[in-house]
Amino acid sequence: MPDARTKKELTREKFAGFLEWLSPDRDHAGEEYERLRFRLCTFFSQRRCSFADELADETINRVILKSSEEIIEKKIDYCYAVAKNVFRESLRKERRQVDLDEVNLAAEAPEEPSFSRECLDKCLEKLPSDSRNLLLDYFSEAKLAKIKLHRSISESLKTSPTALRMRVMRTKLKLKICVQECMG
Amino acid sequence: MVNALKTTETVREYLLGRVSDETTLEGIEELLFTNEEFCSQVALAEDEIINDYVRGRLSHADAESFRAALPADVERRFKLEMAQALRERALARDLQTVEAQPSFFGSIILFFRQPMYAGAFAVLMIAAVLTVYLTRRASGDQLAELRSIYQQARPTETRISEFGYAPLTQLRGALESAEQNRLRRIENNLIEATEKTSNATTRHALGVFYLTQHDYPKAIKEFDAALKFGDAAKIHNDLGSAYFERAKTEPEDKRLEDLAHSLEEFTKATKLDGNLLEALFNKSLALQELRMPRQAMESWTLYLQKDSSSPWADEARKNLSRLESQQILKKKSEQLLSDFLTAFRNHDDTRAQTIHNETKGLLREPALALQLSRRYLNASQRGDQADAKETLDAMIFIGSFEQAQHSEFFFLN
Repeated sequence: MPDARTKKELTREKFAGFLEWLSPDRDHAGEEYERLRFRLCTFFSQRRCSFADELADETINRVILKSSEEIIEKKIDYCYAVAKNVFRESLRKERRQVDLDEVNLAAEAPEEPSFSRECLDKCLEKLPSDSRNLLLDYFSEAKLAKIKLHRSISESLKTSPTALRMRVMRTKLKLKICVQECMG
Repeated sequence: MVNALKTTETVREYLLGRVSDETTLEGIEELLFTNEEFCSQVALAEDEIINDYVRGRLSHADAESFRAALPADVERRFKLEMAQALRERALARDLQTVEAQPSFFGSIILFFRQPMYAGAFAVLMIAAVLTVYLTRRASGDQLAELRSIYQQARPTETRISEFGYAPLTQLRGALESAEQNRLRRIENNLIEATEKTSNATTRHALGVFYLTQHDYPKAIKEFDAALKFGDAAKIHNDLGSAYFERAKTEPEDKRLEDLAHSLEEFTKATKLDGNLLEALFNKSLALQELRMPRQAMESWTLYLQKDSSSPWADEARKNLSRLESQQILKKKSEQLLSDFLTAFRNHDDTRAQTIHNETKGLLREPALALQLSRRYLNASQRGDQADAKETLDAMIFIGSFEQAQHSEFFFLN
């Protein structure tokens, strides 16, 4: 769970500073942020943590605070080191929670907002038509014609199948950010 | 070492949560944070796993691992929901494209009709074939979508054609609203496709939809309609499934009628296609349900010869083993009764009492008192006075023994 102490001290300015710390180029900073979050979520979920995304956010929060106070050279290495600390702390917390005295029966996991198809449609509309068609083409294949169709898409775009998959993934990432923003 | 960690297989195993060795885990994490190329490789692999899951292309084991990790991974759940929604949109677009096709063909036909009738006929034929192909594709897509909803828990005990394995869960909770919306959309699309082109494919697909929703009368109606266009093993199989599942909701006399119908349909399916595993599986189930243990055992054995490794085969093995145990128990019971009656006839009281003592605590098959009561009723029913009298004497013998030895009146009564 996020540490209340670090959450309190976070400000919009510090977050903007953190993005700049990741990359001075604003657009690139967004990508770097998503990439870092992916690394952290993957790290925590593959370590079988119950709240991987919250631990990823906690790690980022700590890095934001530290990066606003000190110069950190190896950024991603540093994030990894903080993530390992957060992981160890979470293990200690989990162990403590086994103690019945600390179990808060009233506390429930916050309800997750259900995925908004309206937001998806809005964001799909915002995508350039070639990107939108690429995504829909990628998902529309009939099972038997899959390989053939993917080959034909990649041929029509004059690109390799791996490059096509990368392009699909990047487009999906853009779409995901848009949908998340739309859902608030 | 580093190169071994970068293989597609290792990355996939890692993302499916199947790497537990600490050194390997740390090695992968180190690379994930320090190597940009590797990070992209992992992201791409995760994206592919999600896409394959949505399309129902992951193996059973991989899908299980994927699902196991979902509850703790909000990010991945979000990506999964987005991929599912994208697929829905893509399928809806395909359907619109299919509906738009006839006017296009119509214009081609008009263009060719005037100068060359033979040419026009050829084009008409091509258009007809293409329409059937496109309708089939659209129905297929809807069914793929339907199958993806039932990846975690199958809707029926029987096997529906082309549905992958999922355990049968009696306690599946109410569907989430997103799933209900998907189901509504699938139903609408299938009904629309049937109204547009009523053929074996569209009627069969709609029947499968109703079968998964446990609306058996509608399912049977659609399958019957589909069969009017021609015999097909898969349609017979699914029609059999609808009868089999409906039998569970019927009173005893109708239940047997439906079960008999289901067996008939499964048999037709296996005759048309001897390798249709769904029908072989279902036929074994029907025989089992109709209390035909010997035939059911033969049928399960035949099934296992054709499929020995899938999760369906595990279910087949469990059923076969249950039937074998029942048969052994039955044989044991018959043997015990025969031994007891021999001892009783030979006035070997000690032996007869020993056999009774060994079984009297059992409330099921082998208990002698139960078997004797059944034998007495059967003998009386067929008017075999000698057998009935002998059995009654044997029962009195047991009762008297119990009264004398343990002051127990239960058996004598």
